[in-house]
Amino acid sequence: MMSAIIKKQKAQVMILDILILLLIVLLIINIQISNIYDYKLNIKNKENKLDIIEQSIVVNKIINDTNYLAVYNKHTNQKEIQEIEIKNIEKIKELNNSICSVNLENKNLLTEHKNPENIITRGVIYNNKFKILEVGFCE
Amino acid sequence: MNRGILFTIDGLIALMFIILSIVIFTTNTTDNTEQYLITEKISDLLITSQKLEITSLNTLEENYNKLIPKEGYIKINNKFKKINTNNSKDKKVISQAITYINSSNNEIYIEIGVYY
Repeated sequence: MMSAIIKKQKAQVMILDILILLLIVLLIINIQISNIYDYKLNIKNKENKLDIIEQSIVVNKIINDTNYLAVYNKHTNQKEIQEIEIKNIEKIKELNNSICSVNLENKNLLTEHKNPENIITRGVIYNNKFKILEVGFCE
Repeated sequence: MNRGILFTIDGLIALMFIILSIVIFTTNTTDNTEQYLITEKISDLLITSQKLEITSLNTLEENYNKLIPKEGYIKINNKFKKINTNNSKDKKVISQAITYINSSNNEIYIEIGVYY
Protein backbone atom coordinates (compact mmCIF):
# COMPACT_ATOMS: atom_id res chain seq x y z
CA MET A 1 0.00 0.00 0.00
CA MET A 2 2.80 2.40 1.03
CA SER A 3 4.88 1.56 -2.03
CA ALA A 4 1.88 2.29 -4.28
CA ILE A 5 1.49 5.76 -2.70
CA ILE A 6 5.23 6.46 -3.12
CA LYS A 7 5.06 5.33 -6.76
CA LYS A 8 2.05 7.63 -7.32
CA GLN A 9 3.91 10.56 -5.75
CA LYS A 10 6.99 9.87 -7.89
CA ALA A 11 4.81 9.80 -10.98
CA GLN A 12 3.25 13.15 -9.99
CA VAL A 13 6.71 14.69 -9.47
CA MET A 14 7.82 13.38 -12.85
CA ILE A 15 4.75 14.78 -14.60
CA LEU A 16 5.35 18.12 -12.90
CA ASP A 17 9.00 18.03 -14.00
CA ILE A 18 8.00 17.26 -17.58
CA LEU A 19 5.48 20.11 -17.56
CA ILE A 20 8.10 22.54 -16.25
CA LEU A 21 10.55 21.27 -18.88
CA LEU A 22 7.97 21.81 -21.62
CA LEU A 23 7.34 25.32 -20.31
CA ILE A 24 11.07 26.08 -20.37
CA VAL A 25 11.42 24.63 -23.87
CA LEU A 26 8.53 26.78 -25.12
CA LEU A 27 10.06 29.82 -23.46
CA ILE A 28 13.42 29.09 -25.08
CA ILE A 29 11.83 28.68 -28.51
CA ASN A 30 9.94 31.95 -28.08
CA ILE A 31 13.05 33.86 -27.00
CA GLN A 32 15.16 32.33 -29.77
CA ILE A 33 12.59 33.18 -32.45
CA SER A 34 12.41 36.79 -31.31
CA ASN A 35 16.23 36.91 -31.14
CA ILE A 36 16.65 35.60 -34.67
CA TYR A 37 13.93 37.99 -35.92
CA ASP A 38 15.70 40.97 -34.30
CA TYR A 39 19.01 39.80 -35.75
CA LYS A 40 17.55 39.58 -39.26
CA LEU A 41 15.95 43.02 -38.85
CA ASN A 42 19.31 44.41 -37.74
CA ILE A 43 21.06 42.96 -40.79
CA LYS A 44 18.38 44.43 -43.08
CA ASN A 45 18.77 47.86 -41.43
CA LYS A 46 22.52 47.67 -41.89
CA GLU A 47 22.06 46.78 -45.56
CA ASN A 48 19.78 49.81 -45.98
CA LYS A 49 22.37 52.03 -44.35
CA LEU A 50 25.06 50.66 -46.65
CA ASP A 51 22.77 51.50 -49.59
CA ILE A 52 22.47 55.08 -48.32
CA ILE A 53 26.26 55.39 -48.06
CA GLU A 54 26.64 53.96 -51.57
CA GLN A 55 24.07 56.49 -52.85
CA SER A 56 25.96 59.28 -51.11
CA ILE A 57 29.18 58.21 -52.87
CA VAL A 58 27.35 58.27 -56.21
CA VAL A 59 26.15 61.83 -55.52
CA ASN A 60 29.72 62.80 -54.57
CA LYS A 61 30.83 61.55 -57.98
CA ILE A 62 28.10 63.53 -59.72
CA ILE A 63 29.18 66.72 -57.95
CA ASN A 64 32.94 66.25 -58.19
CA ASP A 65 33.45 64.55 -61.55
CA THR A 66 33.67 66.83 -64.60
CA ASN A 67 32.14 64.02 -66.68
CA TYR A 68 28.92 64.75 -64.80
CA LEU A 69 28.01 68.11 -63.22
CA ALA A 70 31.34 69.45 -61.91
CA VAL A 71 32.65 72.64 -63.51
CA TYR A 72 35.99 72.49 -65.29
CA ASN A 73 37.94 75.74 -65.33
CA LYS A 74 39.79 75.97 -68.64
CA HIS A 75 41.98 78.85 -67.47
CA THR A 76 43.36 77.08 -64.42
CA ASN A 77 42.97 73.59 -65.88
CA GLN A 78 41.35 72.55 -62.67
CA LYS A 79 37.98 71.37 -61.48
CA GLU A 80 36.04 73.92 -59.46
CA ILE A 81 35.35 72.45 -56.02
CA GLN A 82 31.66 72.06 -55.17
CA GLU A 83 30.65 74.09 -58.23
CA ILE A 84 28.27 72.58 -60.75
CA GLU A 85 26.75 73.36 -64.12
CA ILE A 86 23.86 71.71 -65.92
CA LYS A 87 25.39 69.24 -68.35
CA ASN A 88 25.62 65.52 -69.10
CA ILE A 89 22.28 64.84 -67.38
CA GLU A 90 21.72 61.73 -69.51
CA LYS A 91 25.07 60.36 -68.27
CA ILE A 92 23.90 60.52 -64.64
CA LYS A 93 21.34 57.82 -65.33
CA GLU A 94 24.10 55.63 -66.77
CA LEU A 95 26.12 56.08 -63.60
CA ASN A 96 23.44 54.51 -61.46
CA ASN A 97 20.19 52.99 -62.67
CA SER A 98 18.33 53.67 -59.46
CA ILE A 99 18.63 57.46 -59.84
CA CYS A 100 15.14 58.65 -60.71
CA SER A 101 15.22 62.37 -59.99
CA VAL A 102 17.73 65.20 -59.90
CA ASN A 103 16.56 68.59 -58.67
CA LEU A 104 18.55 71.78 -58.34
CA GLU A 105 16.37 73.67 -55.87
CA ASN A 106 13.18 74.28 -57.89
CA LYS A 107 14.62 73.17 -61.21
CA ASN A 108 13.96 69.57 -62.31
CA LEU A 109 16.99 68.24 -64.15
CA LEU A 110 15.81 64.65 -64.31
CA THR A 111 12.40 63.23 -63.43
CA GLU A 112 11.04 59.74 -63.92
CA HIS A 113 7.65 60.21 -62.28
CA LYS A 114 8.42 57.73 -59.55
CA ASN A 115 8.42 58.32 -55.83
CA PRO A 116 12.05 58.27 -54.68
CA GLU A 117 12.78 55.84 -51.89
CA ASN A 118 15.61 58.00 -50.61
CA ILE A 119 16.80 61.50 -51.41
CA ILE A 120 20.38 62.63 -50.92
CA THR A 121 20.64 66.38 -50.36
CA ARG A 122 23.85 68.32 -50.92
CA GLY A 123 24.92 71.95 -50.97
CA VAL A 124 26.55 73.19 -54.19
CA ILE A 125 27.43 76.38 -56.01
CA TYR A 126 25.49 77.09 -59.20
CA ASN A 127 25.78 80.41 -61.04
CA ASN A 128 27.79 81.79 -58.10
CA LYS A 129 24.95 81.11 -55.67
CA PHE A 130 24.42 78.50 -52.97
CA LYS A 131 21.90 75.93 -54.15
CA ILE A 132 20.51 72.63 -52.90
CA LEU A 133 21.03 69.60 -55.13
CA GLU A 134 18.66 66.72 -54.48
CA VAL A 135 19.24 63.31 -56.02
CA GLY A 136 16.40 60.81 -55.62
CA PHE A 137 16.93 57.06 -55.69
CA CYS A 138 14.17 54.59 -56.57
CA GLU A 139 14.18 50.80 -56.36
CA MET B 1 13.94 13.01 -7.27
CA ASN B 2 17.23 12.55 -9.19
CA ARG B 3 15.36 12.99 -12.45
CA GLY B 4 13.93 16.24 -11.08
CA ILE B 5 17.46 17.51 -10.43
CA LEU B 6 18.42 16.46 -13.95
CA PHE B 7 15.52 18.43 -15.40
CA THR B 8 16.56 21.47 -13.35
CA ILE B 9 20.13 21.15 -14.65
CA ASP B 10 18.70 20.84 -18.16
CA GLY B 11 16.74 24.04 -17.58
CA LEU B 12 19.83 25.87 -16.34
CA ILE B 13 21.86 24.71 -19.35
CA ALA B 14 19.03 25.89 -21.61
CA LEU B 15 19.02 29.30 -19.92
CA MET B 16 22.79 29.54 -20.41
CA PHE B 17 22.22 28.68 -24.07
CA ILE B 18 19.70 31.53 -24.35
CA ILE B 19 22.12 34.02 -22.78
CA LEU B 20 24.89 32.85 -25.12
CA SER B 21 22.67 33.19 -28.17
CA ILE B 22 21.59 36.69 -27.10
CA VAL B 23 25.28 37.66 -26.86
CA ILE B 24 25.97 36.18 -30.31
CA PHE B 25 22.90 37.57 -32.05
CA THR B 26 23.11 41.04 -30.56
CA THR B 27 24.99 42.98 -33.18
CA ASN B 28 26.66 46.30 -32.62
CA THR B 29 24.02 48.86 -33.56
CA THR B 30 26.15 52.01 -33.57
CA ASP B 31 24.69 54.17 -36.29
CA ASN B 32 27.40 56.02 -38.20
CA THR B 33 25.36 56.68 -41.33
CA GLU B 34 23.65 59.74 -39.89
CA GLN B 35 26.97 61.14 -38.68
CA TYR B 36 28.51 60.55 -42.10
CA LEU B 37 25.68 62.36 -43.92
CA ILE B 38 25.80 65.29 -41.46
CA THR B 39 29.59 65.57 -41.86
CA GLU B 40 29.21 65.73 -45.64
CA LYS B 41 26.64 68.50 -45.39
CA ILE B 42 28.77 70.52 -42.97
CA SER B 43 31.70 70.18 -45.42
CA ASP B 44 29.43 71.42 -48.23
CA LEU B 45 28.49 74.48 -46.19
CA LEU B 46 32.10 75.24 -45.26
CA ILE B 47 33.45 74.85 -48.81
CA THR B 48 30.66 76.88 -50.40
CA SER B 49 31.00 79.56 -47.71
CA GLN B 50 34.69 79.85 -48.46
CA LYS B 51 34.18 79.99 -52.22
CA LEU B 52 31.34 82.51 -52.01
CA GLU B 53 33.22 84.40 -49.26
CA ILE B 54 30.24 84.44 -46.93
CA THR B 55 30.88 86.60 -43.89
CA SER B 56 27.29 87.25 -42.87
CA LEU B 57 25.77 85.04 -40.18
CA ASN B 58 22.31 85.49 -41.69
CA THR B 59 23.38 84.22 -45.11
CA LEU B 60 25.13 81.24 -43.56
CA GLU B 61 22.09 80.56 -41.37
CA GLU B 62 19.85 80.67 -44.43
CA ASN B 63 22.07 78.13 -46.22
CA TYR B 64 22.26 75.98 -43.06
CA ASN B 65 18.46 75.87 -42.79
CA LYS B 66 18.12 74.92 -46.44
CA LEU B 67 20.58 72.04 -46.13
CA ILE B 68 20.39 70.80 -42.55
CA PRO B 69 17.00 70.82 -40.86
CA LYS B 70 18.49 70.15 -37.43
CA GLU B 71 19.58 72.05 -34.36
CA GLY B 72 23.05 73.49 -34.45
CA TYR B 73 25.23 76.57 -34.33
CA ILE B 74 27.33 78.67 -36.65
CA LYS B 75 30.32 80.85 -35.92
CA ILE B 76 32.05 83.36 -38.19
CA ASN B 77 35.11 84.88 -36.54
CA ASN B 78 33.77 86.19 -33.20
CA LYS B 79 30.11 86.13 -34.17
CA PHE B 80 28.12 83.16 -32.91
CA LYS B 81 24.54 82.07 -33.54
CA LYS B 82 22.50 79.12 -32.39
CA ILE B 83 20.06 77.66 -34.92
CA ASN B 84 16.76 75.95 -34.04
CA THR B 85 18.14 75.06 -30.60
CA ASN B 86 15.73 74.11 -27.86
CA ASN B 87 17.66 71.90 -25.50
CA SER B 88 20.99 70.74 -26.84
CA LYS B 89 22.52 69.78 -23.49
CA ASP B 90 22.07 66.02 -23.80
CA LYS B 91 22.76 65.86 -27.50
CA LYS B 92 25.94 64.93 -29.31
CA VAL B 93 27.50 67.43 -31.65
CA ILE B 94 29.39 67.12 -34.91
CA SER B 95 31.41 70.19 -35.73
CA GLN B 96 33.91 71.26 -38.34
CA ALA B 97 35.81 74.50 -38.86
CA ILE B 98 37.71 76.19 -41.63
CA THR B 99 40.10 79.15 -41.70
CA TYR B 100 40.93 80.92 -44.94
CA ILE B 101 42.13 84.26 -46.24
CA ASN B 102 39.57 86.05 -48.40
CA SER B 103 40.15 88.34 -51.39
CA SER B 104 40.40 91.36 -49.05
CA ASN B 105 43.29 89.64 -47.24
CA ASN B 106 41.29 89.07 -44.06
CA GLU B 107 41.44 85.85 -42.14
CA ILE B 108 38.01 84.25 -41.87
CA TYR B 109 37.19 81.51 -39.38
CA ILE B 110 33.97 79.57 -39.88
CA GLU B 111 32.71 76.86 -37.56
CA ILE B 112 29.53 74.85 -37.99
CA GLY B 113 28.12 72.44 -35.43
CA VAL B 114 25.11 70.14 -35.73
CA TYR B 115 23.37 68.45 -32.81
CA TYR B 116 21.96 64.98 -33.38
